[in-house]
Amino acid sequence: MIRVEVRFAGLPRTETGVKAETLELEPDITLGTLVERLNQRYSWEIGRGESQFILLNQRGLRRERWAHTRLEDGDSVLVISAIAGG
Amino acid sequence: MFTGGYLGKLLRVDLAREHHAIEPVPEAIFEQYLGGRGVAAHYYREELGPAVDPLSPANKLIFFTGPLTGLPLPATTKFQCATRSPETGIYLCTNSSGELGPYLKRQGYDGLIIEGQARRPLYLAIAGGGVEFRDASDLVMLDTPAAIEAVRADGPGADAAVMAIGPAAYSGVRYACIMVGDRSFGRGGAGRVMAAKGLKAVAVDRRGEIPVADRARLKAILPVAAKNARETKRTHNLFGTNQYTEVMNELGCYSVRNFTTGVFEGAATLSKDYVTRHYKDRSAACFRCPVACAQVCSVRDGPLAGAVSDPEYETVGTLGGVCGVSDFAAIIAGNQLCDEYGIDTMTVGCVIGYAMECYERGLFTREDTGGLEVRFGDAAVMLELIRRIGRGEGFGKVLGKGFRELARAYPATAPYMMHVKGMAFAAYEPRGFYGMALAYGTSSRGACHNVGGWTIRDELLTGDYDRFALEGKGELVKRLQDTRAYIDSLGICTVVRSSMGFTDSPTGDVLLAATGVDFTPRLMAIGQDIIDLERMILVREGITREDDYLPNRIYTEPLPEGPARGRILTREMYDVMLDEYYRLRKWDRQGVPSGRAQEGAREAAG
Ligand code: SF4
Repeated sequence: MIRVEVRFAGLPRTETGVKAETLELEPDITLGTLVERLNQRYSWEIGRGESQFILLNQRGLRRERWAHTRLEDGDSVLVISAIAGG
Repeated sequence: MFTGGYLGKLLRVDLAREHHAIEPVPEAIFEQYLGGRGVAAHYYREELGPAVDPLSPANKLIFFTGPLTGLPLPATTKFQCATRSPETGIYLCTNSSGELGPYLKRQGYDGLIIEGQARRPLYLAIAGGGVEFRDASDLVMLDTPAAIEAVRADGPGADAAVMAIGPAAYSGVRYACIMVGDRSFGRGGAGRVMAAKGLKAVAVDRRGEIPVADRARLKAILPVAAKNARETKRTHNLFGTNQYTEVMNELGCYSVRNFTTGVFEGAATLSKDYVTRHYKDRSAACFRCPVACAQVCSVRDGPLAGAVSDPEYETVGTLGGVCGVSDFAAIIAGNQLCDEYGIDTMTVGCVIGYAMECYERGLFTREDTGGLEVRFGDAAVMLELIRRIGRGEGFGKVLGKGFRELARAYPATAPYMMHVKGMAFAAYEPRGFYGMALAYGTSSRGACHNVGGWTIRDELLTGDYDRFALEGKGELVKRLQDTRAYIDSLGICTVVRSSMGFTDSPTGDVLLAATGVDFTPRLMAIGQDIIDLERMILVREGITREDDYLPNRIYTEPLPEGPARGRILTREMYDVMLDEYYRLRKWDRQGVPSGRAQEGAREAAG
């Protein structure tokens, strides 16, 4: 099993009510699968729309790459929202 | 030939002679620079030579609306001001929401140029297309809400739009703002210029009509655009721009204790959820805005009970993060004080943060500060300093000078001044995303996240850019600046722009319906021309490549903690981005527009 930290900020934190959690996941799991599981867990569509973003180890990752990105032990996933400048 | 959107006239007011004149604005100027920021910059270039002192009668306040200002479309609230800044000593462009821009157009004017110096305290009452010069002797030291109320009671009508300055402008604060109702021309000290001119306020009657080319088409566009803006900017309505506080903190990019770190341990009590639960009263909207992003907050108990204001992300990040203050009640109270005195919240937060760091380093003593222990995290001291700055008292008088003057008076403290070209940073840590560093460095008015370009979405979140990479940042910042320059010239709020097709690949027929001329395919080129024009102005005022650098802290001190720990942006790294940016702009290595860029700007300037 691998351990992955998932953090939420912005609207995702409000909607899930969670700031951070550490999940035990099977090896070879992809970011796409993790997002699906989180969606089921929180009954909320994580990564939905243009205003939500996922950062893996603090770097932005395009939606198209989620399904092909394998997670590793110790990875940190950050789900955030941002729309426009202040 | 325009058949709507523009009036083709400007109102020129000479305060010394108490005289006004109506002048035509040639269509060619609108064709080249669109309106708002672009056209104001054009008049600035024509009328304000490089030797003009910001506080002299020769300085001017050049206000311009855009072709969409005041039209029946979402958030057509914006208008622009260009002037020589007393904070930076150079060209300033600054924008405001509010009703005044729309009402000015209803009076029949695209622009208002105020020049000279009044022989007695004055306010202007604009109604029926004419101007009355009214005595403001009794209003001068009123705070801005009281002044606005008094002018409304006495002026062209209870529902007139009023912009006014507060006591800070008269106390010599070089970053005093102009309040436009409850919005403001915040940055760069336009309020101080207005005080130097002896002008307390401007009131504009609300009656009048703005012509549009195709009213039926605009009527069809409005509900679709408004629905889109409401739906896509839902979090703006719920939380305002303060929704970014916890996000920036999570990324290690927050503005903390005078930019000594990017992570704030007190961010939880500044976060949107905490603020919504404990302080929010309602969302509020600017003129014709379907989003309503302002978060009106009040303090319900404790020593600051009764304080009311609507702090935005930048205000929270400067009065809060930069000063190390985690008490949101103090931020509401500080924001209210700034509004009442008429002070830019962002610069005052950065100046107080600088004073806190210098005090802790022993560079300021209790003798300097008038007995105050000026330390990070002390909310009461932060509030007391705002009061003293607003009143021009003791150490407050010193801090009111702004970074440029402070650097001359206290050279040993200069390394702790977080500014570019004299304008204080916005609330983003540039070592946490390198594009933002380039945006601060190359913005036309000094460190600024709006005019400079808000790189965060592209740089951090979309996955198109690596936030710690150098390559591509010149292209990104140029594109964002060009976009922002044309948006600032249209007269709409940037938050709603994409709901009308105004992106970096503009689409739609809004401009055609408004003006009868389809500018849309040319908008990015117009934005580029505006940036070139502004750079030519800055070069004429003595700005060189050397002025496009950030404070040494950014180049020499790695971030000490958090997700961006160890990150630094050396001068050599910054040069890679700056060179790319200059090359794409067709500016030479000194940042001087050359070749096509220079020709374009010259031609445009006529
Ligand atoms: S989005 Fe916010 S700042 Fe923009 S016009 Fe609407 S209320 Fe004003």
